[in-house]
Amino acid sequence: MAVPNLQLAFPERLQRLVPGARRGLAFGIPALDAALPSGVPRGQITALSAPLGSGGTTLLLALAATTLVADEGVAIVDAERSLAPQAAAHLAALGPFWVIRPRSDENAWWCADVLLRTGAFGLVIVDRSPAPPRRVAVRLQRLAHDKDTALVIREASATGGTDGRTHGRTEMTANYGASVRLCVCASSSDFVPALAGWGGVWPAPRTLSVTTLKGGAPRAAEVVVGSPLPDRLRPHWAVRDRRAPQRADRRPQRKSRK
Amino acid sequence: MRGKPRVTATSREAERRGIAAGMALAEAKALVADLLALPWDEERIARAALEAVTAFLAASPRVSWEQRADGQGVWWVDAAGLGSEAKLADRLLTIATGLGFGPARAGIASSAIAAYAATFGRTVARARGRTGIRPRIVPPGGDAAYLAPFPVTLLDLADDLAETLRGLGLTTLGQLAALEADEVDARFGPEGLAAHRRARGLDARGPSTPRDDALPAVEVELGGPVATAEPLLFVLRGALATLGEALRAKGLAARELTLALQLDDGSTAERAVRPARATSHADTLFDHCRAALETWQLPEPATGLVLRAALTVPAAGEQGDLLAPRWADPAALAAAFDRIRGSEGSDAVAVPGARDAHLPEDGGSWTHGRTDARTHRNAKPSAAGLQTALRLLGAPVPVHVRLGRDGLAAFRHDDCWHDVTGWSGPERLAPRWWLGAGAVRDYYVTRTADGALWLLYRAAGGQWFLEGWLD
Repeated sequence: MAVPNLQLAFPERLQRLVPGARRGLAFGIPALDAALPSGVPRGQITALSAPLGSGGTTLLLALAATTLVADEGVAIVDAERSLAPQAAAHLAALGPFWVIRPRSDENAWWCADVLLRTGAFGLVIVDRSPAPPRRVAVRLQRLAHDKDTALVIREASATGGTDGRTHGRTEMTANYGASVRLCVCASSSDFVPALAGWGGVWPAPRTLSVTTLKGGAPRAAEVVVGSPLPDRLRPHWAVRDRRAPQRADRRPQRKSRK
Repeated sequence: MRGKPRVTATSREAERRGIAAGMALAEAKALVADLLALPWDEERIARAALEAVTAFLAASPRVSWEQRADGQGVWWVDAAGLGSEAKLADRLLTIATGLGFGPARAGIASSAIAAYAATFGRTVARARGRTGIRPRIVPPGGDAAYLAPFPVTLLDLADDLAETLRGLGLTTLGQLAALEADEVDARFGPEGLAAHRRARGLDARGPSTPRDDALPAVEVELGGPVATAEPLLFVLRGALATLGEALRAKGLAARELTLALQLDDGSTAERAVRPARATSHADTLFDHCRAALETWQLPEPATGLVLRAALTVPAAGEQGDLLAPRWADPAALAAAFDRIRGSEGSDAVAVPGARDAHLPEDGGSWTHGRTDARTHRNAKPSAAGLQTALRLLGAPVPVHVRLGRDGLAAFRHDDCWHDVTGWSGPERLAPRWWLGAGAVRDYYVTRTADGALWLLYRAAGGQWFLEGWLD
């Protein structure tokens, strides 16, 4: 009796079982996946250097969505407890997705340790946490390797003020053995009319520049990210838009002093 | 000897010398001067009975033991389908004699009460003058007739009921069985009705398959007082491995464990550990027990540890998917989440959801349920490509704002000024009108010099707040 050719029947799922044939996790963004051909490696630490407001969360959520579509669990350790639930709500419908919100950012590494030990996740993200001590990073790297889980650490880098000071956390310079290091910076976006016939403006799509600093040939990819217009501002076909055009001279008024 | 100083059981030698059960101890000692009287030892009797049950299992697969009120022991042995009943009776008697249970008697019948009566068969037959017959085997269907001449005392009744029956002149089982069941129930109640059924050869008792119903438990002596968690955790892991093996051997999974610590002052501290799912996996149980230990303030150092499976359910296997990239043990995942909740708070593990609300802070919600209590409400993937994600501070933070000729010029947050290079707004939101005019907010999306987009609003009183940023 002829042996059925299973590889023809389930080529994609069977290929996942062959370690050598497994690609890393993809962002699902063509330009970025082309710049990182091997993907975000499983069993390794990937560092993402993205200053506050530069679009790092957007990229991480895109990576989570692609991983969930591939039937793998995703956990995000939100060390700052600042992720808005509506921003990640669509991920809960894609598969096993959890957000861990520790009491303090120092506990984020302990949470990542517990999550990695379960072996239930294909991707664990630690978002905006202080740099892990070397010994902690080594333990997490071993756990990620044992469980074949991709561990992505978003570095909590500082944002500079125009007065020369910085706010947020200090720049993460510790070398904790990341096999891939990505750097993200965002272009400045203009404010454009969001809707035809409405005088209000809204941030235009902006371009994120993602550079591979480690883990392959230095490459840069540009990703266009839009700013979601709130549903309250979208007109409905059955309801007449009664909003008046925004006047050019309308601006915040100084508080009058008595 | 049991309770009152009366003889309960005798050896063959004592019986031969005239000692009988029920005889007063003083009378027995008067008959035999060198009589050796031993106190009644329940534990020893139970051990001997268990030993006999084990031996009888070689002859029949279903054996059970019952101790009667008078101290006599009865073994119920299933004789169905085992060939010659007479040979089985002889074999059982041989085993009993070999174990030292003498004089043992055997009887075979369809009901337990008739079989018990059959063990006295020879005596009854002699009384009726039919010597030479060994009526140890009651033919099927003949239980009631066989029981009829036996005295009512065979039923091991309570004293008051036995006295009442005797007062009514009901001395034999046949007389009792001849009464109507309704009348017996009305006059003597449930106990009388049960006696009436047995008198008719209807007895629910009988042999059963031996079962070990004791739930697994592990007890460990720590060797000395232990005041820190590390040695306890080390011992705990080994104890849980042993307990898990015992559970799996019985086909069980623990729904609840009792973790008891024997303290240095002699007291015992107990805590119940309930995994989210019943499991016998030592690692999963260890995570739960460790979470319990981490939050346990002990008044004294521990000297011993006892683990008991307090509540068990039949183990249910779960088949993983061969082609799935990974398969997560639900129990292990639940244990990990329980551990995080125990350390970081009950809201530490969350699933995001979206809500239809105007205010940014009301646009989403976290569900802090169990692993299977997931919410997908209003979850919709973006159809317009990659969208910037919103991040919100735990609570809006008051900020200082510098206004220029063209409007917003800068704001101060975290002790540094951010130059505003563009902004949109104001967008007035007043969703909670019932809170008064103070709830009105004028929202601005501002762009700073580094390209970051911030969400600010001005409250009705003129105070500015930073609520979050787009990332």
